[in-house]
Amino acid sequence: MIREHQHFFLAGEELPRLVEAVAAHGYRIAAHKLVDGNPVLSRIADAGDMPRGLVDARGPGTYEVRHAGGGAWFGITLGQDSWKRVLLPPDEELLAFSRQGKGFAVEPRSGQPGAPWAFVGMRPCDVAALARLDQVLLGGPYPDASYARRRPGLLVVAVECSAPGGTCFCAAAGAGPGLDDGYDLALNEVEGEGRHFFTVRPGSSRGREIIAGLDLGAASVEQAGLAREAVESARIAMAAKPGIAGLAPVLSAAHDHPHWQEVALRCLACGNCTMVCPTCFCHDLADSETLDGLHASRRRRWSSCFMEEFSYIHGGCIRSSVAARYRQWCSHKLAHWVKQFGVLGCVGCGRCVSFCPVGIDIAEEANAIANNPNLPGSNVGGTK
Amino acid sequence: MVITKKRREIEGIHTFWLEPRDGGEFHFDPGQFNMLYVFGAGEVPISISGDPGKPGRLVHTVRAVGKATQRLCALKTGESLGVRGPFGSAWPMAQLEGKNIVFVTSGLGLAPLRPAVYWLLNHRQRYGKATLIYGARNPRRLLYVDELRKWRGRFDLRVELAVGSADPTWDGNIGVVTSLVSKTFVEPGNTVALICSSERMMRAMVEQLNQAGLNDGDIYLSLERSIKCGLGLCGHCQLGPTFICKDGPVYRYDQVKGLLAQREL
Repeated sequence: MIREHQHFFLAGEELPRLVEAVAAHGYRIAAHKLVDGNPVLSRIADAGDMPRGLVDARGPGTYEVRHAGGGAWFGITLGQDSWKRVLLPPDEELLAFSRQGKGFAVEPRSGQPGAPWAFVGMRPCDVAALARLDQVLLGGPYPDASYARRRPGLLVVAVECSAPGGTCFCAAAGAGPGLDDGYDLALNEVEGEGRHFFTVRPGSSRGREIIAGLDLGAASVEQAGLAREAVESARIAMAAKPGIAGLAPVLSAAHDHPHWQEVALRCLACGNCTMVCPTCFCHDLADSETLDGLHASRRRRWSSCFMEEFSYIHGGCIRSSVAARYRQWCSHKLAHWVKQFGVLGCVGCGRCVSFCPVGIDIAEEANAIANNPNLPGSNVGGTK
Repeated sequence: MVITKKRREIEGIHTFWLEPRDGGEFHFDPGQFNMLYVFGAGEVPISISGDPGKPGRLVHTVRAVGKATQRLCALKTGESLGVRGPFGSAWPMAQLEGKNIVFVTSGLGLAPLRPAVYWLLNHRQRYGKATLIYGARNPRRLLYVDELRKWRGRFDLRVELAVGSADPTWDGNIGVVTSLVSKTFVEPGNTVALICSSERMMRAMVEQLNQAGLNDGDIYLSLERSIKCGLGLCGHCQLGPTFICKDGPVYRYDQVKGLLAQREL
């Protein structure tokens, strides 16, 4: 009998067997695939589609994929895509309508829902982000119907982190580098010094079923220890990062802090941070009709609080200054989210830092305010 | 729902009476809003402005300002609208029984308050003194004038109107609506104000109400932000930690005072 937290051993070259087994259980597999040299979350046919021997080098405003040598499957920690791209697509039709006499009707949804997804290579930060999205989109009185259709069958094949990137701060967000829950299978990849293997532990009955079919032996105490040490070293590597928990009171009270203006001098209000953020859920609803006026459609598109029109009501935009928009985003992630949902809205993946064209670091900016909470106020807005 | 009646209130503002295609009733609490969908043009949050005691007909008053509302106001009797709702918080009418009620509003702000006025008149004996203070730019910009005339004739509802300018036939007040607050009977401790207007105007209204002796906790107001989904999922309507579409639009003033004091929140 397989116990929940038992560690199994999988040789490094045997990952394709695990992927095949997941596929054989009826899942569509999504994982990193190299497109124009960049890791993009895509549907893959088998493990052969996954990039090997590569690592991602990340810093503020920089992201680069490099050859590391060796055959690691999960050397790339993160790409710009987060998994919300699959569960909450950037552009999708929610409803279709057709004219019927003087009125109209909602067209029945065509097509069968596809097979459930298996996300292979999900990092602890992204597993935490999934829980955040679940809470926002499924936890209230009106669940998001589209997300709710895709989410339930999802199989999470997560990989714990051993080599955090330069912009990672999941430990400060309480979202990594190890995993306590939220996964069906958790993998640790140990590669180097002549070794290459995985330890695998199931976190659910579906995970246990897949493991059972692979006939894996138990990992030795030494192997499990190496895997655990790697996660600990990742935690230590991030120890110097500024904390982001507990900033809610100071940020909520720092509305007029001059630092928001200082950030606004650098921030381009491009919205990249919100696009790559695994928890940003804001979206627009866009209605359109065909030229003959017989059919209409409502689409959902990702939106961003950095866009001026995001806060538009008749008469003008509420947040017209960039300072107000940066403050909205940062305060929502680290303060308002805590009031709304009881947890941080940030999981410390660091994508927003890497993919910010000017390398603004949310944790550093928030701490710049927390460390000087009482600077004399200045109005964030201009003249409004 | 089908438009069974349409009335032009004033230039650019229309009232629609809607009935479900399959009959049935639409129940709501005063202060709540619906998402109204115009085929192909878009969906807009519009407060319900009819009588909650008459759930057979849903009433909305709409101003044509954007693409969807312009198309909405061009719809004719017999045509259809999509309706999702009702959404949001309500004027806490049951909680306010036994109190004197002062409604303070201007312009289109009367529309979200009107269901509360109906409620009060439908249950008149449960409340103390009732006053409606309503202002507009000029007499031609007052909403629901026939009804205002009827209400002015009642002995159990005092109606005070103010306009910015008018010709000599006008027998009401001239001036800003807030100037009427101090003239109104207010019994501190047992009077509650329900207000709805632009945020700037409501700030002035609150100031006057405070001066008249009302505490922040005795004032309720209806707020507006961009609302796309009405479900708390799209993120547009956030005001600090609150979602206007599900935590609001009606708030007790002391609960949002700090948020409203902040620019560009």
